Amino acid sequence: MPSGVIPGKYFVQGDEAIAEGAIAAGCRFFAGYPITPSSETSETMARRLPEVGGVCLQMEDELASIHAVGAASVGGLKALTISSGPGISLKLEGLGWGIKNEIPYVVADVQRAGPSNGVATRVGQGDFYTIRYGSAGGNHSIIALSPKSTQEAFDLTIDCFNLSEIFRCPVFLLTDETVGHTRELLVIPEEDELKVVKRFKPTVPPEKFVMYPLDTPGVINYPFPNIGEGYGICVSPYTHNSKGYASTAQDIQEKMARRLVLKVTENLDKLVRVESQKMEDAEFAVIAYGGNARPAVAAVDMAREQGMKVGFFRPIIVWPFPDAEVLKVAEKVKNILVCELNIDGQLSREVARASKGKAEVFHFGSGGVEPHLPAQISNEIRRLYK
Amino acid sequence: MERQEIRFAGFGGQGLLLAGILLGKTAALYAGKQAAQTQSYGTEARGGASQCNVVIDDKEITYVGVVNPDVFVVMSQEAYDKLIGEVKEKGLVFYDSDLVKIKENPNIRQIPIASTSTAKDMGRQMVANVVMLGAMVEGTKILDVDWVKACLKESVPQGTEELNLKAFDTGRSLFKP
Repeated sequence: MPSGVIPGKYFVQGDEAIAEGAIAAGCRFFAGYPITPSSETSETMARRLPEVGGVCLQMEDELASIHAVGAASVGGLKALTISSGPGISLKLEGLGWGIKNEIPYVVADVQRAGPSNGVATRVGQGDFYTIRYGSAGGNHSIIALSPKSTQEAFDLTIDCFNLSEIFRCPVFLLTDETVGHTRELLVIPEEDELKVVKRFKPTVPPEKFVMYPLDTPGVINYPFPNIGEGYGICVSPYTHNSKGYASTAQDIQEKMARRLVLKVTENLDKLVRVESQKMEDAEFAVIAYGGNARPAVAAVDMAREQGMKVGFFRPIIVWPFPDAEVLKVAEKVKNILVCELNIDGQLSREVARASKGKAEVFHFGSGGVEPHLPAQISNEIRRLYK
Repeated sequence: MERQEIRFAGFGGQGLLLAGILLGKTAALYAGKQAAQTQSYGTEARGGASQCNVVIDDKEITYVGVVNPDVFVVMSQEAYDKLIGEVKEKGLVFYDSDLVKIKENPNIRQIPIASTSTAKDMGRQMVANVVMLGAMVEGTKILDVDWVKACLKESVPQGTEELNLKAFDTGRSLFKP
């Protein structure tokens, strides 16, 4: 199968970079249902996957597409699906099946202004909690990375695929219309410069292989055999024992739930990805993620020019939330301004929780359509800076 | 080069998005500058209001949007009326004089380019966007003409290279300093 990596410089949208990142990570299956502002990824996959021996399917709806992606992964292919808010809410049912059966694949969410169908072509950041808690029943962790640029859309998509193999779970790329639709320079390096994690394969014969390591819940880099290799694979939606068979026993439910949570929470050191700027002497911090990080950085620069000691912090991994790193920020500054494109306060709620009262946390929200303007954020900094 | 904000606006279907992409692509891939291109459009593919914004800078681009354009290329009355007030003081406006009636404004320079009729005379109204791009590149010197032409040649559909290059040069000749 061709590597699919096309080294070079391109002027493309974030959505296209997601597709190229997926192909570079070894993704050879895509199923989706088109939705603005994510459709350019689907279009790119439809054009590119056949060139590299992959399969691209436009399914009848979102539920079918996420199940197709899970099934393709069980069949041995790295797989991607993509959507935006109104479609993500439909995919969540299939996501639960993927989480419970520890199936590696990637879901990209290109956020737009909501709720409901909202404004299809314009930006919002309202799915922060949806992707974390939207799958019914709880008892699981989620991994989600969020890019701020076209280049990061490429890089972090590869990272998402790697993490999905390392942790054996669906992983989200939580992006937004600003990043998805901004054309910028994308540099695709040579194939040997990319770090791509291949699927871990069993080294023991089928009769000795434990499909679900419920007795060692924190284990990662755990093999996932695919159908057709002689290993017993049972992927039902019911609570399962270590072989995958359905169980109603309380102790099995307890072990399975702990496995789905602890494999992430016991390996946080392998997951932390954050960005800091000008935090060394900062007395005030601005926190933002995704496409809205860009005007936030511009506003911090403006505040610095006005003599205010303001720094910038960005969670690149948004789930699990980087509690320890945010606490360090809170211990350093008096005030934290969280800028995000929702009115209800999502990222700001997590920042307040992780800050443990060490700094006062302010939510600066907008309902979306436009990203924050640098001047809006810098005015808010000036108003709150003491 | 200081941060430059360029806005293209008109109707969906006029090709202003392509004009903006060509400018950004030339800056990023040929001129070694930082460039970001964004767009806003309605749900309709043709006929609705369409806007394409480009930022070009020598430094890293933090905010990718356009707030107060240094250069405004406009091909519809609706877009002109709605957006002319955002143009920066001393900004340059290239307007399609076949489609747009301007209001006098001493704080900006407004340059008529009869791009739609010129393109029609060339036999292909659809290259009016490239006529505008040529006039704009000539009038601003924002990027090297040869780089834009190289990018144009590489980016337009096969078989239309000569037509587009001719439209670009015709647009350049329509700019009067």
